[in-house]
Amino acid sequence: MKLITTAPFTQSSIERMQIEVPFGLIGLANLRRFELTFVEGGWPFVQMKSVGEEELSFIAIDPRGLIPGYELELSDEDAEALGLDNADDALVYNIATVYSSQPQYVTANLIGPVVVNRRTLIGKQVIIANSDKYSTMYPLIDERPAQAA
Amino acid sequence: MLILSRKLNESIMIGDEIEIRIARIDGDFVKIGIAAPQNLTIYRNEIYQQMRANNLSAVCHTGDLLPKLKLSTPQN
Repeated sequence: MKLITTAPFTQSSIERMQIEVPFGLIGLANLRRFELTFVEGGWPFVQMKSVGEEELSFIAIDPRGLIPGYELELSDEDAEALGLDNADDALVYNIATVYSSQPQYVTANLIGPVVVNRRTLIGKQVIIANSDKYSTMYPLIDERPAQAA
Repeated sequence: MLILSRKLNESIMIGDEIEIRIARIDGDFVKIGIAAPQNLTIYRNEIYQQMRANNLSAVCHTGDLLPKLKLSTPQN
């Protein structure tokens, strides 16, 4: 199998951030530490890679200003677990599923965002309290050719 | 699976720290109270299964996707 090669990032355009996720991701509880990679011009996409024994890579999105009307409600338990008492301290990333990058077909999980306390860099994949309003497969980009009826 | 019969307000202990109480019964609708240590997360099973499947399908197997993804139109 041949991987498609892409131009490497120039060092200056990258920012990285490590977060601890003490409970892991849901169903992937062994993934407890992640490196987030932000590339200049790459908004809203963020690479989220687990660090440690098992290295798995995910694409996540920063939903701010991207998804109209997306307002997540944290349960008191989750807010407490994250030590969040101010919404401004919360960073939110929604894990995306890339079904195909060409043509692009990407959905985002709006129900189970990874919420990070920016002061402690501790995060948790939460299930938002108002989950009935959203989908785990919100179509972010769908450039697939229209299906014939 | 172990099946136990319980009446309203009776509870079950799982180990020393997890208590599950039948808090309300209303026809085929049961409210269950759960007291468990903070390091245990509790989910409705259907949501858990959905999240798990979603996380597993989100694992990227094809190298570095980040530079290839571009929003075609700003969604603001």
